[in-house]
Amino acid sequence: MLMINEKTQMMASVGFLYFLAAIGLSAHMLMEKPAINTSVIDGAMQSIYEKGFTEANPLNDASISVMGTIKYAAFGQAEQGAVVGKDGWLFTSEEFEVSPDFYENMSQSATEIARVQAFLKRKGITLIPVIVPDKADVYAKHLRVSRPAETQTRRKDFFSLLAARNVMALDAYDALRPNDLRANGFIKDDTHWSPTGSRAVAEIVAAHLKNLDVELAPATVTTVQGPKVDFDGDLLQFVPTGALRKVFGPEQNQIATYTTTVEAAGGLFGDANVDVALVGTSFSAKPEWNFTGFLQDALAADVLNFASEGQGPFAPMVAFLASDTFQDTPPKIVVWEIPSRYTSKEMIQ
Amino acid sequence: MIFSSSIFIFGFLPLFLTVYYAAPKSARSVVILIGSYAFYGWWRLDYLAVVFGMSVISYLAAYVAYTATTTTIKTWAVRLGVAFDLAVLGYFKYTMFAMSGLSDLSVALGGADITVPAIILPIGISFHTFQSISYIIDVSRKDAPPARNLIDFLAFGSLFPQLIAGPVLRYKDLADQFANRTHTPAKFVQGISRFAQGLAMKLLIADNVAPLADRIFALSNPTGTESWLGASAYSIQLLFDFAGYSSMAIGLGLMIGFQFVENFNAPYISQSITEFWRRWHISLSMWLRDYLYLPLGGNRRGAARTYINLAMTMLLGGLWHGANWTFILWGAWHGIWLAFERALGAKSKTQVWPALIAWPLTMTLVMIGWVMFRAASVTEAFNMYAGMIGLNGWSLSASMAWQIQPTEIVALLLGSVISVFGQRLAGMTTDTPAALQLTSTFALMVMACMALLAQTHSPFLYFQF
Repeated sequence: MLMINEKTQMMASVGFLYFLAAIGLSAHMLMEKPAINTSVIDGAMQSIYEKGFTEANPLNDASISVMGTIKYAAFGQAEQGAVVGKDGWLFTSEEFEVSPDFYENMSQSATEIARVQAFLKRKGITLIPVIVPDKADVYAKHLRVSRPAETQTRRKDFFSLLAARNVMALDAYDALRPNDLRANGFIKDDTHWSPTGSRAVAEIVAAHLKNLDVELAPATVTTVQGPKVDFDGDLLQFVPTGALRKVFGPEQNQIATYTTTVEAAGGLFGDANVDVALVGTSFSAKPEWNFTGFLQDALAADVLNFASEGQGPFAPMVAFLASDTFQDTPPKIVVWEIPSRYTSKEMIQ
Repeated sequence: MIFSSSIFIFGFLPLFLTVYYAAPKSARSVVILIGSYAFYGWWRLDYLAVVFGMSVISYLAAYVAYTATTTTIKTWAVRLGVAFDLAVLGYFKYTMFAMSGLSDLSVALGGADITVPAIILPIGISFHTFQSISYIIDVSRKDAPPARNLIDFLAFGSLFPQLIAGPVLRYKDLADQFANRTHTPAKFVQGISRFAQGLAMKLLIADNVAPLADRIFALSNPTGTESWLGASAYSIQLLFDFAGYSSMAIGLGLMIGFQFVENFNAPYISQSITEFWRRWHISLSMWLRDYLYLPLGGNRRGAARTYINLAMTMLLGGLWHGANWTFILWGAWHGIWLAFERALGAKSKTQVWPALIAWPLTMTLVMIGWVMFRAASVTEAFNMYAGMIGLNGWSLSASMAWQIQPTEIVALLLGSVISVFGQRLAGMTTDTPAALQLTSTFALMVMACMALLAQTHSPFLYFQF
């Protein structure tokens, strides 16, 4: 090191300082400044300033992109929250997690479903729980690591718990498995089912309902397929390759878009009652999968959607049962979409 | 403020260095003092009063001891000064521990539950206490001249590169440098190099291994494979975290002309626990030797007393790390082995144990110690020990296997190789062209900065002490 002449060392030192200072100055200029009346005595002002300064660093995005790419391309690894499978498949870590209360939570979940079923039955309403399997369950062949035994048998174990409580639920597993007629039921880089999978599940729900011999208010339903569009799955946030994605992946996926329109048989001024309510999670709530539309199409009837994102399946049911719609115009059928991985978690997320 | 943060690297550091080098030589101690107080006050401004108060009292105690005309005055000045520093440390660090123990005892005896007050531990207080004590004693013993003025001493006491987590600088090591030190481009570039090395050790090795250790130490019934993997991961994490911090501190010192003592010297190649403590946290070992072991009598009062002094020194050294039985037991564990090795002749022999078992035995003992050191409680440590002897089986459980990330294993292996063969590898690069060394220094700095910006806040382990 000392072999380099003093001038070079001086330039390196000054360059080092200037570089750091320039980045710091940029961050300071770009950041949102803390309020003047925030206390410096207990460090509150400093903490707010530091957070803003850190977040405004102009090198943040490039750094995240480079480190994310190194992890993904060199080590086949995602950030905490996702698991990288074979051939670019990504899985949510939630499908691998085993909490200490795993079986106790499953038991409570089954009991809650039985309670809701009994409650609705007393009001003459039929509950149809639809258990959505883990993506890692359906696509186990794309996994690089084995899942814990508890998660591998979770879906079947949960059906046993439901059966013990006299609850009949639909298993969406077969509908989501790829076969000769159907492409992937799940999206490679997303936690959720694909529109194809969503439609397949809607069809088994409709087939089941027909067997129940429940008369639904008829409607004219039309589903139109739109163009395929680029789609970035929710699991990509754990693989932040950014601008380097085009070179190192994950590859860009596309999904088909669908639009469903419903015209009630009574026309504009007909009976406003809707006989089917859908309760569930983001599988039902996100418009990209068009689950409500496919369900309407398969049933040839209108469906009211009470699903919501980010709350698991149980909180939306609590909200639905407390809603004015349920109190004033109760449906005949309630379809309850329940992802398998939520059955072993705490019920209220 | 921590070194591995955006605010330090892109804010404080360039600002401080610019002001430091723009200031006239006579004002540089003032710049260091203001910069160091700003560095500390960034956490909480109010706790600066603790640092300032301890420095002023220590300065006065040393002054009185130095100028005392009688031995009695000198002795009492030292006693009061040291007692004050220890009382401050005791209040902030051990009150809750002691009160909690009393409360447990009271409840066990059928008495009332005692309310334990919540006391915020000022960061770096343990290191600051040791440095303040070293000043009082060094000056009173006339091992070092008193500081030229209060500003110099306040600057020494708060010197930001080492204020939070060491190295534990003794005043006598820096006294001359405060009066006379050189600033050269070569020294500055060497400082950047050491800082970059330390930053990389922390961000690229320690922080990548940390999640593995954290997950395994959180298991209630770890298997044999998991326990040893967790102990290994923590051993590497702690070394690269703490040695990384020390390297950054040394690098920052060099940037402003100071030459700090080295704090680590390849501790994981040690062939005995005695050798380990000559290589691990060297500045603490030297402090404990000079200000605790020797005042206790050292080896001057017979073999039995020597062993007791060794064990006592390490036990107190353990307690210094934190108010928890885990630290006390960790200190006692090392103290017992130091005493045992002394009985085997460690004082005069370089090889205490047979060559074939020396390294694996030493590393096993060290790792067993680290498990206690890392565990949140003694019970958690014994859960790990149960795993380590195979009481929960040996296979890697599926619930753990899927969580192990390739980067964790790569960082663990890389850290292990560097910690054992690092000196040899460094020896092989001595003929590397200087330009390449300089380039690699900046490449390492860029890589470490990218890792920093890509991750969330990650505090240093030794901040808690």
